[in-house]
Amino acid sequence: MASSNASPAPAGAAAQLSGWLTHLGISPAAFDDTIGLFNPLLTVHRLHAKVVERIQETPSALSLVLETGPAFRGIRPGQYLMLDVVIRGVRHRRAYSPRAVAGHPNRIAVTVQRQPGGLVSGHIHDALRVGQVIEIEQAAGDFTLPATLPERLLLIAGGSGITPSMAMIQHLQATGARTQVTLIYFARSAQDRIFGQQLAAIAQRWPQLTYVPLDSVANTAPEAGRTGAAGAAAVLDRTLLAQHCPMWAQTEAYCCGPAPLMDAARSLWAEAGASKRLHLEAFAAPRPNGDPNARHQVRIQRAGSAQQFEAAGNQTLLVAGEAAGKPLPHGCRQGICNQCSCRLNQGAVKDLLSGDTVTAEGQIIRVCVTTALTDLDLESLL
Amino acid sequence: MTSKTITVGPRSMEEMAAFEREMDSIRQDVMRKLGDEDARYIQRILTTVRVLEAAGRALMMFGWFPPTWLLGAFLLGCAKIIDNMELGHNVMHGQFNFMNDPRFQGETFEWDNTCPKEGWRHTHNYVHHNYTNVIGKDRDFGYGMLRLSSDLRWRWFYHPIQFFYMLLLMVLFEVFVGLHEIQTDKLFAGKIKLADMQKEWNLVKAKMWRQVRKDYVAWPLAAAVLALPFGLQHAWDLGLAVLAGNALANLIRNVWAAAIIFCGHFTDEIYTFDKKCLENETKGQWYLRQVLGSSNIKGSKLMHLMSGNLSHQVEHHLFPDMPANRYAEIAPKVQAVCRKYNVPYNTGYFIPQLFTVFKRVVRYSFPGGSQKAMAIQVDTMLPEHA
Repeated sequence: MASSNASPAPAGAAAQLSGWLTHLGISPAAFDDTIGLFNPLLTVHRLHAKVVERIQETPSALSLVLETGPAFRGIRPGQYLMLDVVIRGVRHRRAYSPRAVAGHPNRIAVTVQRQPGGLVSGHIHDALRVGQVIEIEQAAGDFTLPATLPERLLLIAGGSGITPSMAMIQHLQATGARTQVTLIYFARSAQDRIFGQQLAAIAQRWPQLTYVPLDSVANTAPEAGRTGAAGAAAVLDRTLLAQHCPMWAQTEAYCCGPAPLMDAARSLWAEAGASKRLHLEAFAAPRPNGDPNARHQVRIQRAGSAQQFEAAGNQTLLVAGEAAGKPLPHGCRQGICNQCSCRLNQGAVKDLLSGDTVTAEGQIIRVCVTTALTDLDLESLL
Repeated sequence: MTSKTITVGPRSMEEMAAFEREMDSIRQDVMRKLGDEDARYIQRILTTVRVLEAAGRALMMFGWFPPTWLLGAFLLGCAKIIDNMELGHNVMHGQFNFMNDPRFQGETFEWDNTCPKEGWRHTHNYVHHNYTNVIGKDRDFGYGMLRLSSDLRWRWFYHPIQFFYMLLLMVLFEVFVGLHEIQTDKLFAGKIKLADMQKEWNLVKAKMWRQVRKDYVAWPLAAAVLALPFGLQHAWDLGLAVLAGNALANLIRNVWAAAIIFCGHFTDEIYTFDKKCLENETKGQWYLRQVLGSSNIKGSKLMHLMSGNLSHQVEHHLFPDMPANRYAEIAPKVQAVCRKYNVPYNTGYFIPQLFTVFKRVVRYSFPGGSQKAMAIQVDTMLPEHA
């Protein structure tokens, strides 16, 4: 995983100490347990953060300001952060885009959009209180700005996909970068627009930013009972791009949002032969669309014992296992964290992230984003 | 050959199926409501282990002064007991896998014991729990050292002093449990060669060395370094005190763990089973075998904690993957089902139970003995009885 910078000195020293203590039989986990008794933020192997503030951005978006410990290596704008919450005793992990908090070097903020029926986002909105401590991981991901900043930058965001763009804009503004930034930001309505007022204010103060807010549901996945006020007016296409960023195919571009928006961007840049300048970040797990009537036998070997269950063609292996009462170890449920990785020893699966078919040659697959195409023989790597 | 017939348990296949369903539903009811309470429980147990261990090791740093040295060794012993039993044993069964927390994942958990975790998951979770008390299958029945039923042939040059072996087994319990992984009994009998068990032996060696290095090298050395400013004599003294304290703590854990585990399967009223039991065994028959092969210890909450809830051995053997903190809650229900189907539910206080273990060990030091492996038969399974 990518890390931003080296560990700060005290955390480095603590990690070194923990290394020596393993000879005394104090494992890294035990070291963290003991340190955590005093202050959970001081742990060095598994990291923790404390919720210090909750800010309601829109009726359905909530920002959390988190205080991190000395072992947290900080963030690069655009990266994601794994955040663990415990709901009814069960740990759930999700990825969110963190951004720096001005004036507080050891604070970060994440914004969580409430998903309809979402377990984790619902819990964060309704139950996570100021003062509570949650587990986090080092920030990771390569949806980040290049080392040498380009002259021009195009950011395309849809809905809560604004969060990495926001982190980048704030960073560029704070560091006095000379980059010209164009932000095309689709949202269902002004009311649903996370950071709407803040962005407008930044654009006023900081002329390098061309801010293009568009009310549109054209690029979102069709969803019953929710049609935005703006209708299907604005779509991401050549006309729109040419209007707001004439040099778009020659510009470093970052797009994060719902799958249809990213699909549109992917094909536009591919047509222009500029795919390598487009950076994409998915924030929701892809939906499986295989044959719901197909039933495949899945066998998973774990530490000497085997589990077996049936998976339908339109179920991820993780969901199929859970439905059969055989939960598998997992993390983010969207193909980021690799906690659910298994070795595919026999059979074929569809990788929902890439759309590729993976056939058994001992490849590593993530059960949270794969569906079965045949009967499978897997081996858990945990 | 004479065989004894006892009439216990469900009397027909229909009754056996009903028995199975009732046991299943006890499990279902609990597994459905697992959550915060269980997660908090195991987290608290982990905290307890850490605090006890830290306190124990810190107290030992005061050297040979008896009050601190004894209390230190005692607290460290308690930490090791809880680490091995209520925390390690239960977590390694996967009881807390539902939490999806790497800290409490059965497959990766490591404990303060010379037995390597990899081997344990096979010999204990799989072999012992599936083949409980099946002679020739369950290697934990007598640990290949003790003759506890007349299934094993009495040998004049070995068994008469088996009470002594038992004491040795208790004192060095963690070592024997570790060595158990490489089938020491079969090695000595010449049935297998060490080369056959090389992989297991390497794991055992590595884990044993790790434990020795920690308790008998690193900690005494750390203590000696701490005392060095006060002179070489002090350094030497403190190092020895810590080494001896760690040895005492391990001894406390070994004897206690062995005593508890013996009470679970070696008491007087425990049945052993013939391999025939395993043929076409239904889940209900498996449940029945678990109940007949296990015994409980009555006692306070502290007793349940310090025994790693193996005081609920019957419940544990029925539902090895159920979080142990739930056993007390289901025990009355299990007992009621057992009463309903005329299944003996073996329980008693610690000292009397341990006494029956000793009695059994002594009895089978001599030839003969009435307890012999039995096969579970249900009337209608046998056409000639139908």
